[in-house]
Amino acid sequence: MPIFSSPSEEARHLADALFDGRLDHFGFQRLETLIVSNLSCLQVYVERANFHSELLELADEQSPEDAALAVLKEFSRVCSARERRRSYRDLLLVVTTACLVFGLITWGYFVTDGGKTSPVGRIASLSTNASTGSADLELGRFVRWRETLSVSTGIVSLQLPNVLVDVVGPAKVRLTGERELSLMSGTLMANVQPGGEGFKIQTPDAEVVDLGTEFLVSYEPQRGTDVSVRRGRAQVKLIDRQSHPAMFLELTDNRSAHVEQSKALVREIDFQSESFLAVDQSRGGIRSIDGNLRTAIHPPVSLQSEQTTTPNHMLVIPERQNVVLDEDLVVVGIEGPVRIPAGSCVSSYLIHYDPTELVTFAPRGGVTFFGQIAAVIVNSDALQGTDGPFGLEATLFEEAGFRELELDEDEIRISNDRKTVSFFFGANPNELLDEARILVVSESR
Amino acid sequence: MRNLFSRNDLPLDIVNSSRESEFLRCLAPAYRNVYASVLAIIGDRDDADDVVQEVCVVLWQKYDQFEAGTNFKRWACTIAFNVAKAYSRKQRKLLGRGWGDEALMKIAQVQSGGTELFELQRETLRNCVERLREGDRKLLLECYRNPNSQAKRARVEGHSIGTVYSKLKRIRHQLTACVRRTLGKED
Repeated sequence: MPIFSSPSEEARHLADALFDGRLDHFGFQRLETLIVSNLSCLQVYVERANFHSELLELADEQSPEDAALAVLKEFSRVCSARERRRSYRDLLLVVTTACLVFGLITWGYFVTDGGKTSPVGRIASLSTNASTGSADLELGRFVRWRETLSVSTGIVSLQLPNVLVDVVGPAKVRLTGERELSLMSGTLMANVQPGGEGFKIQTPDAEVVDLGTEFLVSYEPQRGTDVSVRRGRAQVKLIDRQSHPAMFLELTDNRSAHVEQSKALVREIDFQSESFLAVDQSRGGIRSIDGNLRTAIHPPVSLQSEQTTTPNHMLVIPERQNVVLDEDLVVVGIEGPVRIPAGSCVSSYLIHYDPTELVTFAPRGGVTFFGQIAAVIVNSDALQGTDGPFGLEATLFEEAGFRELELDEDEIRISNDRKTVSFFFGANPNELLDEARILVVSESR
Repeated sequence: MRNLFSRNDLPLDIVNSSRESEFLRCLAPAYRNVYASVLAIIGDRDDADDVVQEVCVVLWQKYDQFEAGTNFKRWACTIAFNVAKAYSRKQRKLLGRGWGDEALMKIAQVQSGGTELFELQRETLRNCVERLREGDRKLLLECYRNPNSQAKRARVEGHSIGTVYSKLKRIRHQLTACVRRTLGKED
């Protein structure tokens, strides 16, 4: 009789023997006693069931053709056996199921690509300090069905169909579908655009179903789940231990709820507006970025020459957001003077490029906004003139004229729909700093 | 061999029937959870295979009752537990072997409550299997593919069956340690 260092160790040994088909009656009784009386043993047993089930699946993995034929053979066998003892109606049911399983495998073949699952979205934006434990972080990279993304630091924004999800590190999410994901820990914010309604976020103790909205969910195993809706409507469900929805609450603008499975609790709490701050500061109304651009995680203290250098990327910094103009504003942009009418709601973004001499990347990229670009300001005077009303209050700006873009060597282009601005910056060794301010007129999203 | 997966060769009812396609789309990502749920209750892999087939039939029969917008995986696992529990109770009555009600309830609770964690562990396990030495991986998968191969292998190699089980035990121990280490790191 082996000697075990702990009851869990014994439970693991007995569970392995059970799944190997080598456990006798007394062993089974002992295992039952252990899992009924000891929570750790119970956990070990269920973990072991998952362990063996995964290895069985791995071992059974065959080429798609072989797998399909094996399933059809198996169902033919089942059909023949059942034919003898069941009615014709039952037989039809089995054949239907065979077709379903066949379809399941063929469908699996189509959604997978050489072991990779199908893409459900892409990385739309990254903050400067964004990092993950293992996955590659590249703008535009596909994120795939069943992929788990562990964001250690910074903010990673994922564009799923009609939904923009900001994952705020440290956090772990799993992409369970085009219209749903699972938050295993940390915080995420979802911005659901028209057509994305019904998007679902699951945590171990809650399910949040969007009804057209901008909302934030955070989950920690010790605390439970917090949900805050800034705009629109979302349904929050408490999931009980049997995995059934037990209670639900509907949240509208500026309302928050706390959900905790262990206390069977779902209740409204004070709106947690500060939870949105990290994403607002980093991304604002940016829909996506590409090229060598990153969003800032914190507002820079100084943007004067050589104070915030950008050796590996250009920065796009959300400045003042949703400024409602009291009177008409005329600014000189790359297309000449532009008049923005009084009453417009304007958000500002600064592109900041201040590389060191050792530049190793091509300074080009683009930013796409939810709103429409009213003006792109590159002229030194116009930049200084808008630092006050649109720049961040606590940030110091360069006063020298060289911050302006030299349009003979720097190119800027606005897309026809006026949602995207793309640029290519040159590098003048004597005057490295280049900046541009983009004024975006907000529209309801 | 004819390629069974050319889209033109797919059965028309699967390609065209939105209801069936919808069911398959839901079942595919839930299948592993359903299998694990059944195996946790049944224990024996051959019996578990039969029960999983029954579960698929029941899921399709009850699919009309599934409330769109709710969690299919949870719904499917709940049904899987119920089918597996009924099977286990029957086995206990007929053969005197099978979990008692308390054990059944607790296993179901832990399996459904830890779905995310177990999924993560299973993903990690796959990576750990990839990292095994070639010989060990082959032995492991062969033992799982065909349990009788353990005795055959022992005979061929002139070992006792106990030696094969010891090797298997060592590999499993290695995998368990790898999963723990990896998840510990990630966390």
